[in-house]
Formats: sequence, C-alpha cells, structure tokens
Amino acid sequence: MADESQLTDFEVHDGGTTGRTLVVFAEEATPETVARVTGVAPSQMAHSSDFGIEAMNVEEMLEQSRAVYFDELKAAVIEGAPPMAAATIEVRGTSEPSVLAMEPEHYVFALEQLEPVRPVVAPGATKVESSRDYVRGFRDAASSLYDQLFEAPEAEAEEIEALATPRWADTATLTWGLAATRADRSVFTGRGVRVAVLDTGVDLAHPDFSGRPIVSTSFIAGEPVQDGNGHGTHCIGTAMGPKLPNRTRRRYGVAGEASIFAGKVLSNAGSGTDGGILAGIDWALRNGCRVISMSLGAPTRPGEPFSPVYEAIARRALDRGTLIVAAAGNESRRPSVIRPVARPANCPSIMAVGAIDAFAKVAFFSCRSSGLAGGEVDISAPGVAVFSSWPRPRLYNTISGTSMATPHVAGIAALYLQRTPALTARDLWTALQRNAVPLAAPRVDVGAGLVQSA
Amino acid sequence: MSRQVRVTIAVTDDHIDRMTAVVERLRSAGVSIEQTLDAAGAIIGSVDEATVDELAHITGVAGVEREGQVQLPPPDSLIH
Repeated sequence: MADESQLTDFEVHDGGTTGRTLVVFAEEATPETVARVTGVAPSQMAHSSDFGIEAMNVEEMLEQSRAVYFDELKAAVIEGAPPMAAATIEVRGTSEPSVLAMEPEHYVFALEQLEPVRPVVAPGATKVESSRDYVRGFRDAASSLYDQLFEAPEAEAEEIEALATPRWADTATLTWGLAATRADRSVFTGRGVRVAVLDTGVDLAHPDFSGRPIVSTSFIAGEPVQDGNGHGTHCIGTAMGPKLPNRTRRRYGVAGEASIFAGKVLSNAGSGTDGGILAGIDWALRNGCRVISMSLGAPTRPGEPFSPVYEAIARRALDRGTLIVAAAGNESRRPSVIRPVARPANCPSIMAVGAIDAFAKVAFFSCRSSGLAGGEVDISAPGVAVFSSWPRPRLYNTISGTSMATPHVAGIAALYLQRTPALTARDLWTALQRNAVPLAAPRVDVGAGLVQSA
Repeated sequence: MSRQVRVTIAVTDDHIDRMTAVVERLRSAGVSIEQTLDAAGAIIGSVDEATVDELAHITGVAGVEREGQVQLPPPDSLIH
C-alpha cells in the first residue's frame, strides 16, 4: 500500500535491488516458462539435481551461473531481477499462472525501514552493514532450505515435499483465493447487501460489470470515478466480481450479487488524503453500506498510537451496523523486517486484514500486530498472486498485497449479512473471526486465521 | 508567520445531532471549515499550526489530527 520511495532518502544499491530474486513456480511450469520468467537460458541455469547428495553452496553457484533452480522446490534464485520483475504476473485466458510467488525484486535498504527514527545518514559502514546483514540472511535462508530438503533422511522427504507444494492453486474456473476461503461453496451471493470499496474508483464499462448497477462518486478534485489506476477495479472484482465473468472462465469474485458502491478516494496516481477518505466513509454510511473496504493506509512507526479521528468514526460506524475492513499494510520484508499494522487498520474498531499465500504462510510483506491496543492483525485472507478484474483493455491482472486480502473479507462479510441481515456489525466481526480457519502461523501475523465464507 | 495545516476532527457521540454547534466553536477558534460530514460525525478544515492542539479541548470534539496522506505504489508494482 505505501509507496516505498516515500520512506527513503536514498538507495543503497543501484536500482534498489538486492541482487537476488526468489521465484516459486507452479507444478505445471515448463522449462520454457522458467526460462521466460527468469530471463535465464537453460544453459545459464544451475540445477540442484546436478549436485546429487553433495551440499550446495548457493553463493558460490551464483558466482558461476546466473541462477540456481531447485528442482524439488520448483523454485529459482536469480542473480538480479527477472525481466518481469517490475510487471505483474499475467494470466491469459484459461492458462494457469506460472508463478506462485516472487520475492521482492525492488529492495531499498533504507535505514528508516530498520530503525524507528529517520536517521541522518552518513555514507559508509552503517549502510553497508545493514545491506550485507539482510543479503546474508537471505543467502542463509536459501542455503538452509536446501540443506533441509536434500540432507534430510528419506523418512522426512515426504513432509518436506509437502512444504514445497502449495495448498491451493488457481484453476481454469476458480482463483486459489476463492477456493481457500470456500467462497465457491457458499450458497450466498451478497444479494441485498451494500458494500463500499473506497479506492481508485472502478472501470465503469468493464464487461464483467455490464448490466450490474454501480453507485459511484469521486472525492478527487478534477478526476472522475473512472479508474485510471487499476487498484480499485481489482479490489472491487475480488469483493464482488460476478460468478460467471465475461472474458475469462476463472471466477475471482466473492459476492457476485452484492450492491457495488465505488468511492474514489485515491487519485489515478494512487494518492489520497484523510479528508477524502473520511468523506468516502461518510458517503458510504449515508448510502446504507454495511461493509466498507479500504485497501489503503500509511505506514506506522513502532509505538505510534492509532488515529483518534478514524477510531471515533469507525466505532460509531460499528455501533450503527457498518463494518470497516482495512489492509494491515505491506511494509514488512520478512524475515528480516517486520513492520507494525498500518494506519488506519490499527484502530480497534477497524478490522485489520493480513495476507497469506497459497502455501498458507504469511505473505513476506504482511505487517504484524503492533502490540498496542487496536494494532492487531484481526484476520487474514489470500493476498499473494490474486487474479481479479483490471481496467480495459487489459481486463484482468494478478497482483499481491494486503490490498488484495482486504476485499476477500469485505465480500465474505456481505455473504454473512445476506444470510443474517439483522447481524450487528460487532457480531459480524465476531462471526468472521470465530469461523476463520486457524493457521500454523503466529496469531500476531494472521489474527484469528484464514477467513471463511458463510 | 503562522502556518496553516489541514485537520480532521471527530465529533463526540453526544454532539452528532448538533454538529453546527461544534462547527461554530471551531470557527471561533480560527478553523476554516471545509467539509462537515454528518453521517461520519467528522469535520475537515484548516487552521493555524499553533492552534491545533487547543482544538481537542473544545466541547464536542472527540479527536483532532493533522491530515495524513496515503500513497499506493505504481500499478505495475509487485506489491499493493
């Protein structure tokens, strides 16, 4: 959610890269796909299977080859960024995505991300040590993973293989996120429930929404609600996309019959102000929206208290029957950097949503409970490689973020409200948490667990 | 030389139905009112930097903050 460049005064490495990228491929990925995605020809790729039972020194291998491919893991460590690094993973027609996960290609080693106070930075040792520590940690993690896989006795092989297999995957007809939250099994559609998505607006003429009423308004001076960014269309798609989309067979939306209220509180360039966001909340409340989805926020510093203004408004909304869900934030770079829940998700009366991946693990970017009142991650939802709608002409896109996890919860909340219209917002909150599936991850990272549909 | 800052203000529950009274008190304190959000119970405006902290003491004000910003990463970013 937050633009990283806002957090930094400088970049340590040229182009802000770590020098490494880790890519995890789907089971079906062919060698051609691996070569295309990584930008590394097969002849330049070292394979773990070349080493048999010998221990592998990843760092040494990367000095000789441009990339190392772990055959058992179907994952690659690449020197440098793959050609698709700055692009999202495309999914065309009924083909399955080739990439399940990708470690961040952009890495800005700003001290600000590692220390609570913006430092006066002098060039030299301090910066280098922080960068080196991180890259060392990454190397150690990759080597350790290899050791576990190939050094382990046969009896453990199956268990380790399981670690390398995603629990869910996109199919031709359903996203992994809908499968994981069981949205496809629900008899509910969100019919009769008004859900507001406060974001960059929506592509009003997207074929998947033709014939479906959308109430929309813009709070951005000089910009119509028509989505010139993509983020808003993607979030609305996840929350409320149709059961039978128009140009893909893959269903990606939770509450296909919910009433769509699209409030543009973020400009096409992705910026917004509290004033605009609060105006959006006010509009949603005036229009009887029972759920407000906010895939937005700003980073918080450890120890920073929540906004008294957002809290007062959100608590009042809860009292009056409206649940506000917001993204927990993407500032973490696990395992080295773990940041607290963003604002305003860190308000006690706002449900903070963390992101998990298809391995049921916390997404590497997902923020953690701050330890302060209100700063908990309350629940988690699919947020890595999420396929959803995108403005024309592209129509669809697969992106990651706690921004993608949040509308899963919003759509599911609509299912609950359709089932029990008289449910109070507080009881809705409790029900979402109680029905969540616990995960093998700390509560501070995933809250009550993986949200489940009604 | 005074500096104007934009502020967001939440109104107390007992003043939701009489926001105009709170608006008047804020005006008297020097706030230039931009928006009154009746359903949310919030007021957006701008005021002298030096006055911000005093506003919290005004009857009917539940909270005051300097307005914050949010920024999404570019659409082609890896993480959103």
